[in-house]
Amino acid sequence: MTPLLLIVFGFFAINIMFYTLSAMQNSAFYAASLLAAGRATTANNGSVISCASPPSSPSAEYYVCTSSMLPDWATFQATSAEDCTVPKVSVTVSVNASAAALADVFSFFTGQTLTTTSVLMKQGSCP
Amino acid sequence: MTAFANACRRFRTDRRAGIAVFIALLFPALIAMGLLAIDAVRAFSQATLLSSATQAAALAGSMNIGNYYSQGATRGGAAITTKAAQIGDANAASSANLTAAIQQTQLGNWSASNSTFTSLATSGTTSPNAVLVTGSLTMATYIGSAFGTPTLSITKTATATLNSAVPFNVIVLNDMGGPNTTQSLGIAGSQQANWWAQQQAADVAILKCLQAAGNASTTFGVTGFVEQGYTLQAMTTVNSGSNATAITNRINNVGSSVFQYCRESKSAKMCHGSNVASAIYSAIAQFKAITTTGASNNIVILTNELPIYDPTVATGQSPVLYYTMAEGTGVTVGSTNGPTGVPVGTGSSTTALCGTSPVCTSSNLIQMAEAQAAAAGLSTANGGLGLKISVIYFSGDNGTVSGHATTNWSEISSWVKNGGVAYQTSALTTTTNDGTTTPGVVAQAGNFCQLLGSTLATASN
Repeated sequence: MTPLLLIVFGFFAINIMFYTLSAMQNSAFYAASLLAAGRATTANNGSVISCASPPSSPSAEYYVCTSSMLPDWATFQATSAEDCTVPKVSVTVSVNASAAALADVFSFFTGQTLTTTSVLMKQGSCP
Repeated sequence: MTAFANACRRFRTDRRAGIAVFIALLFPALIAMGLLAIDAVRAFSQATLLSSATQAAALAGSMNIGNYYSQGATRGGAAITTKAAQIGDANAASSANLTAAIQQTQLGNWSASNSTFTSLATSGTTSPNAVLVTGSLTMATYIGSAFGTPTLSITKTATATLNSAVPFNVIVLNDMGGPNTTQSLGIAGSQQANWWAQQQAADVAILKCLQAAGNASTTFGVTGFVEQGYTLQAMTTVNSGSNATAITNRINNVGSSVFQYCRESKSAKMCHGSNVASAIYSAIAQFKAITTTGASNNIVILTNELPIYDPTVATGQSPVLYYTMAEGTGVTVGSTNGPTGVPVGTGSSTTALCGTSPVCTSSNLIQMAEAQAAAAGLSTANGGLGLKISVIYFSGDNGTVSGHATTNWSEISSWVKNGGVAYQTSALTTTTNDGTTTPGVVAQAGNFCQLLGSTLATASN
């Protein structure tokens, strides 16, 4: 029985995890585009913000957490930064991989973190 | 024999645990199908990532198209390619079993009506408005080897263009002061004399960006300033008929006679002063005359010094008369004599700050500049036009004249309003690694074009 459960839940978990990763990529790209265009700020250059208590200001982290692109079965973290030497902006979204996989009954992903980063060129003045 | 026959009969008819045999036979296939599904979803996920990377690269490349117009095809094109790859590769992270990178960046033209991209190499033209980026990745598969596909290759393309959605109106304010021994900035006379030539090239580079973006309502104008501002080129739509050519000719024909405007037309009473307040005042008036609603409205200040009252030049020549606010109208800070609805100064007082008596000191002129910049940047909600001010400052001293590159910059960069850009360059020209000479001021003018923004035209899914 265990091999069958392994197949069913294992494949299910992996596919859900990749689905979550794609959602995270889209969300990070969206927030980075707003940050690059100056329509969003960085909450605190490099500080990690939990979407459990997102910032109220129109920051990149705010848009990551509230854009409805991310699934609601896990708690995501977001961080953004500006590098004025390029200049570029980056938005990183991360989540506990086990939570993202939703059905990680065999704890394949326990202790792992799923991370995606989107980098865009900064428009206009920096900072 | 009978026992064997009985055993065979039981095997055929006994249905207990039959599913176990079935599963055992299918198990390898189930595993293979599962791994195939994982490969597929991995490929889908990595394709999404690569798509984002090519889009980011295309946006970065098109945002830097101004480099083509300011630095030429070779160096400008290389700068665009480098920037696109830098941003794209930052997104396309490689790992142990995955290699992803931006492969190619092409400059060209995007036709919105035909939804086609034509590279410069194909068209032979020299006015790009778009960048097409191709990215690819190679991914090792889990099960693909069994089917003769140990690796999977994915290619994505994205095209981004200069943003043409809204009019991008620009007035460039050219500081035409100098050359003068008191403002030598510690640079060679030939370089100082070249200052105006570089500004001409910068003006044309910005004009070409606006032309490439292609918005039909975009307007462009040039105002020079010394002791006061005066219009060199009135605001004109860029993308109508041969206007762009006419504007270019006008800029290029503002030669030495106009460069020496102050000396020849004003009998050498003042040759400098960099009264940028006067020029900003003039720009506000010009913007009042056009439709600014729904447009990006920009003032670009090219200057090499702070506003300055020079007693050496002024001695015996009544210089105070020539520090006027705009076009010789003599408006002063503190009055409300600005364009309708646009406050001029810092308050409602009509007391003249300077201009007749006492003379305008350097600090007066700086205060006027700050006030005019504030007036230009005043939001529409507060009765202003919400103009965006950018500055390009040629410090010129290469660090040899104390204050030019630091103190002056602090003041000049404070004129920036509403998200304008602030660039400083210490050299008019620099010799680049490909042996060409790149004007520092002109290169920064190309960077100003980033404010046009860029939009995605196409992206492969």
